Amino acid sequence: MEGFQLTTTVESVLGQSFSEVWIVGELGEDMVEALKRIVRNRMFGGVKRLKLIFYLSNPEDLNYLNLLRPVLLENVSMSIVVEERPVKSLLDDARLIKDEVNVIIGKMVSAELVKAIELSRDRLKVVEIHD
Amino acid sequence: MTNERFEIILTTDRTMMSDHHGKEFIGFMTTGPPIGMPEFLWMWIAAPKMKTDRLGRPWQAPYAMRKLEALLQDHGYNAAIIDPDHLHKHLDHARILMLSHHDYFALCPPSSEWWLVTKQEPVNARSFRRLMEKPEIRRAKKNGLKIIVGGPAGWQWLYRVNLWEKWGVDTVVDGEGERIVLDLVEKVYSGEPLPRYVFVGPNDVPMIEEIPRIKHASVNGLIEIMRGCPRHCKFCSVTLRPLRYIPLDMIEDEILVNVKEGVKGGILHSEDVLLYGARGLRLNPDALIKLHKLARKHLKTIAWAHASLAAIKNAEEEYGLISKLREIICEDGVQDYWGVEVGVETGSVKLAKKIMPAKAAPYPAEKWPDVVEDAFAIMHENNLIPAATLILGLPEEKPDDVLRTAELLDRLKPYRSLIVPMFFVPMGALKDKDWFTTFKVSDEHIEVMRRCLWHSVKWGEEIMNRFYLRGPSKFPVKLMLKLFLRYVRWKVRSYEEKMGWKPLIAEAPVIRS
Ligand code: SF4
Repeated sequence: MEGFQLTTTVESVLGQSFSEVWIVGELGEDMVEALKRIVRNRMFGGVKRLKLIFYLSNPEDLNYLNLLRPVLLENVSMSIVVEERPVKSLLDDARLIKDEVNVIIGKMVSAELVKAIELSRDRLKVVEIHD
Repeated sequence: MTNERFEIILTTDRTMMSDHHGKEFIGFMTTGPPIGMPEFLWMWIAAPKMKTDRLGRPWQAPYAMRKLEALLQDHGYNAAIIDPDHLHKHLDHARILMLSHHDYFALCPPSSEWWLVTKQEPVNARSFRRLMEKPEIRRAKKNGLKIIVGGPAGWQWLYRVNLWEKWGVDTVVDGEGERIVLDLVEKVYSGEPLPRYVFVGPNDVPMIEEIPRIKHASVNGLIEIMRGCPRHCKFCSVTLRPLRYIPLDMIEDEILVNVKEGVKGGILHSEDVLLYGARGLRLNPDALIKLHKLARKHLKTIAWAHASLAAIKNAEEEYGLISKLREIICEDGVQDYWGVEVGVETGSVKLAKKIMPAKAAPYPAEKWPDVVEDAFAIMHENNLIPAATLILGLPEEKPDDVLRTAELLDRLKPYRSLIVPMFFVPMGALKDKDWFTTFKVSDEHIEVMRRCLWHSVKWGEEIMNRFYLRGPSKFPVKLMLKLFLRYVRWKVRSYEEKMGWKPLIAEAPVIRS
């Protein structure tokens, strides 16, 4: 990285603030409509950037993207970032957030985790539960 | 001295990393399967190998990749575009592999259409698969290489999630890349996890000052003169992004980069070249004349990427501008024609009003077929050769709309052009691996496709004889293309006889000199 000349300065995308939605557990067909609704509402509500974070038991399995496709295609005007994280890091992540985050609870989420999420209601607002 | 161990490699498959013998239009053959000849021969005609240096850096590379290469180098990264045949020299010590493509899986028209008609996978998708399965990529992936893919066809990965997973693609980017790419690279360098998918919305596209200048030659000297389009057609994503005109000094710099590296011709790239410097849809003849004089000063040959038919008609009728630009482009007899892609899309006024109400502007949408014919006549008279597209199967299309398109094609017979019908394949259909076996083509569609085919074969032969691929070095390719056109003619005629269809050849266009 030595001796280079910076000729173009470029703004960051990921450094901007994003409205976040966390999806915990496996994504099911019945959640697609809920997610579409959220994307539409944010888009028409003037949100410029949306981050969808999937807390998955197996973050290597990309199958959820097949269900996410119609959701992503609803959008035309927002920047959207999709991330995966292991479900076990959810509560640690919850401790770090500053603004309230909407949470959708999907399939195969243990009762203890649902309870822990509900206990963090000052930061995590559960908007949908699908079991 | 350049560090020869690149940490970031940008590449793509052979169908993109080629100059198509200096003729962009031949590149269209990469969207089809090999027809009437073995695949290697088809590839040799459509996408010959690119000259490279000792390290495998190609002489010319796709323009969008050149932009990212320049951006990364400007920010101090040891990045380079590498030809796909030379990846083995670098991947063992690279950290990131970046890929770009116009049509990774042949899901865009016209690839999707070739697939539909022939039931065979086009060579672009085959070639990309071969690239991704190269042992050097598989080995590097196992050793921790990060793979980031993007480009105009980034969205296609959402329809091939199995391959996304199988090939270990870390991030898919959909949208203009300048602002996001540095974020992603920084994440890799700092050991942070990458996002799985990023859609770059209109608020995050770069401003002019953020767009870097290319440092090495682009394929066939393609240079961007503007981004965005103000016409707001329903099916188009380009129009959602803001309009940005590239300043003349930046265009000149990039032309000179190409010329210095031996690429003497140039393609002015825009969704509508004639809107360069325009105020809304009001043309700016001064800006266009300056732009073309600048290009003429440095380039041996000039071509346009795209222009709208309405702007062509308006430019000539209001300002005599096509003739003036012709004088500049064809000055001193250095070239006697130039090429452009145009969108006819439909002959139906009803459909035009619904899906592309501003495409005819400044003329009313009701006049669309007349706008098309007038623009074709202007182009014919000025030796501006269009490769035109039509869209079949639009969501609200009725059989009558298709018949109106067939009628318009009959009106276009006397004008030198190639016309390619494209199928609008509903996104939903693409998710199925065998989508092309279930998609239905109507009798009216077949009529339009036959008209396009005979029109293009007839005019294609004329263009080849009078204008295209001159000089002894181009003779073998020219010969192969002529034989190919003959083969198509024979094959289609025998198919028509078998089906008992009235031969359209009898109605083929009159060749006007
Ligand atoms: S004219 Fe072309 S680029 Fe412009 S909005 Fe319509 S389809 Fe898109």
